[in-house]
Amino acid sequence: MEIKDIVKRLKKDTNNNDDYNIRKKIVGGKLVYVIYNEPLTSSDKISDFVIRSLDRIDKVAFKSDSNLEDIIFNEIDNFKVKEITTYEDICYHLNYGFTVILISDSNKYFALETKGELARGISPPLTESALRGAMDAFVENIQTNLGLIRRRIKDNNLWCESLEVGRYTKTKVNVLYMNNICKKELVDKVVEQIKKIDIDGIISAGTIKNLIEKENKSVFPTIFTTERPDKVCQSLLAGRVIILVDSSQFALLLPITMNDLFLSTEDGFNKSINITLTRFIRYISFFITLFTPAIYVAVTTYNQEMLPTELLVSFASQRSSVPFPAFFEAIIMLIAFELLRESDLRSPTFTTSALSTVGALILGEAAVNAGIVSPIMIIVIAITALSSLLFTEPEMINGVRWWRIIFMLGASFMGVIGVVLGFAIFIIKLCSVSSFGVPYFMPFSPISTTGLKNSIVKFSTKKLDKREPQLSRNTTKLKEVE
Amino acid sequence: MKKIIICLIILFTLTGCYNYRELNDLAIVSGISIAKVEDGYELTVEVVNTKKEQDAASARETDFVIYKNTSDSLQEGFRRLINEAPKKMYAAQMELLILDESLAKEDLKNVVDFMARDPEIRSEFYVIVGKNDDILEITTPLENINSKNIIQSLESNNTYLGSVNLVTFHDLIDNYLNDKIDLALPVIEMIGDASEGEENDNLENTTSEAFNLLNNIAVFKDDKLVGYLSEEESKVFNLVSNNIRTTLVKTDFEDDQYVISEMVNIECKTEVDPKKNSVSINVSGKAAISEANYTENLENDKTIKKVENKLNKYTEEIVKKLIKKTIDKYDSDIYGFEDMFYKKDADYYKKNIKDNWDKLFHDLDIKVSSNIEIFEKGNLNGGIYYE
Repeated sequence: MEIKDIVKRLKKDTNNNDDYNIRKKIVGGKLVYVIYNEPLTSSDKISDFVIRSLDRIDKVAFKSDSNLEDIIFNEIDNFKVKEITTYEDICYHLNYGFTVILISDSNKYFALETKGELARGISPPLTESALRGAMDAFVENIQTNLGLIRRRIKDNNLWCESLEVGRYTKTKVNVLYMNNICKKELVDKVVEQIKKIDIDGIISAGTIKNLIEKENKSVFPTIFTTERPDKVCQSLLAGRVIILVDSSQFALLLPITMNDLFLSTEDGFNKSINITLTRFIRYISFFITLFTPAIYVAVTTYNQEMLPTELLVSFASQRSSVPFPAFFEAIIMLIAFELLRESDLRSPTFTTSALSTVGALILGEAAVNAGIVSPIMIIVIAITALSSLLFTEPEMINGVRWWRIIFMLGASFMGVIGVVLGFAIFIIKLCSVSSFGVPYFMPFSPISTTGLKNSIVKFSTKKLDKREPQLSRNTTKLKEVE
Repeated sequence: MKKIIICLIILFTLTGCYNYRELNDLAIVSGISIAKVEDGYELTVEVVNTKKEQDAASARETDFVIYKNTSDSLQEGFRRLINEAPKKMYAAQMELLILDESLAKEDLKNVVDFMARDPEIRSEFYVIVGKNDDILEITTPLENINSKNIIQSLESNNTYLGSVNLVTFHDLIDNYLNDKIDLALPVIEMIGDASEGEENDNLENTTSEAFNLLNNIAVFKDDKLVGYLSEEESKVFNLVSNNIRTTLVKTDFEDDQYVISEMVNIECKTEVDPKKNSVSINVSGKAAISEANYTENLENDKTIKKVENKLNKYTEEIVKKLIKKTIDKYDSDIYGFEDMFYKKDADYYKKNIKDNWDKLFHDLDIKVSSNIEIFEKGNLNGGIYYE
């Protein structure tokens, strides 16, 4: 195709968009077009290196008998020069921030890397804070994110499958894994599932997550999202697969088990014996946040005999002015709390102080004085809410809400027996879930001795010398240390 | 799977809410007193006033409310309380049952049957004999609820003084079903004017107009109250029955001198020999001298030995005396010797003892030995009197 036709077609396809800059030049007596997409490219790079070197070629390097294409390919100042041939390729590269050089009377075109810096710098993690732990977090640029990982794992075995998803967004998706640790079939499964996706666009990692995870199977997350590169590297070394999605600052981690939601990267920094206590608290808080409202409903409406007399008297006197049944009271307060949490997440930071004042009133003294809820209900909701905030994975908190309501329903129909029945269903459900072939309730069921060493009780780092065999091919993690 | 879920949902919605009762609809009963009157039973039920704590306007209200009813059967009597009370009585949290003297002297059968039959009432509440029938009605300082007050003094008395024993309803049933042991229950008595004690004013003076006082132990024979023990006797009974671990013993010496020692870790072993019709009781434990107007040097090992001997002798004496008394005066086997014989040698018991127990009981050969060791004499060495 004549280069003039290409330019014409491009102008037509893009509706003569100003973003596409087309510069005409004469190099070595031939017409050369320099085309680039201005918002995506760095103008400095183009003028300093592309235009200037073209001028240099025209004046110095070009001899009348030599081939212009070869000279440009050799002499142009750019670290990445790609030869392309089709119109589609031209468009593709233009949309990726490349500069394309068209030379008349030639069917070879060059694409030069001139991407502009459109990403922010690396900032501390905002959603997963840790007292001790790396203070860098992923950003929206996939290359930066890859860099953050490669900086930590300097090995050829860190393999990466590059895929492109989304008909319009053409989002870059990288599947990372350790070649010699990770199970091959897991990688194949993940890659295959991602390849199957045919969607107009991927805006965030969440879309990929929901499409490859069997979303309706369980309310609890079977894929972990994180913005911490240290966590990602830890998971890579454990044999997990990481999915990085361009323009999304969250990496997807899979497969995971329930137990992984209770771990924190910070745990590695502290003494195991101290972390064991922390783990106990995390596990206890999980049960607190699941069961407290349900048990409150059960003991105030069915199983009053379970309470010590003094406590019952205190409950009774606090409830004496509340006109609603305990279940309804609990639902009111749970809704109030969820409102508060949701509004706090959505609102800009400068309104949060106003919100928290109002929220404290709703969830506090005023509601009690108005006789809508009892003071004990405030305590129940407060401890429920507090315990749920221990988990960094929002999907976990959201999933817990459903079960909390189910237990409360059980309690309101059958008291403590209802809660126990609900718990049985809960355990059965959890045991039936699996995350990409790994049982979700591992290491408790099926029992895995390697996993148990790093669950409720954390063994010393020296003893955690094996990888989980369900996850990895190569289980030796730590060789004898003196 | 879907069918199962639908079935479950239907199951839940079809069931009524079995046993559903909102906390606001319950009158929490903390103590019950039962007296025998001419036309049946008089029930006195102590209900916690749950309105008071929440409501500033009712600050002057009493902490508990008394409902009374007389009826010829217990269940009817309890149900009829609802004629007066706004809520249904909820007795699962009940902690104290007071059997009035009038009832204790007659028959406990009905009470035991009713209380044991009711699935709501638990069996771990304390049972006590009341000398007056208005014990529950008076207001108490320090503890808001009268029955709570009584339980607290019962428990602390049992721990530190040892003049009452703790009998839960569960023990009572055990005891009742076993005809080889006689019952012994703690006693409480109301001192003062009950009509003044009922008012909140009772709490506004430093000395209460009316108050409840624990009054040692009552002895039963064939489940009927036959008499009361003194404080000293009650302690000894508790000691022999292993009801207490600590008590005070006063040992007298010549010229009005005495040593009071606090016995701790008391253990009493009772061995029986059915063939010889004998009982040997061995009291062991440790003692600390806590008060003495004794003029000899208590730092001296010999003196301590002397006090120790005296203490042991005295203990042997009082134990023997009490057992003799309960056998001769009340004809009551509160220690369960008969049961011990039975457990030791059931065959022999059935053949030889069962039918002549009444006679054998009075001829019991009782041996008592005491083996108490003084291990501490407080912060004083010789004693103020000695120096």
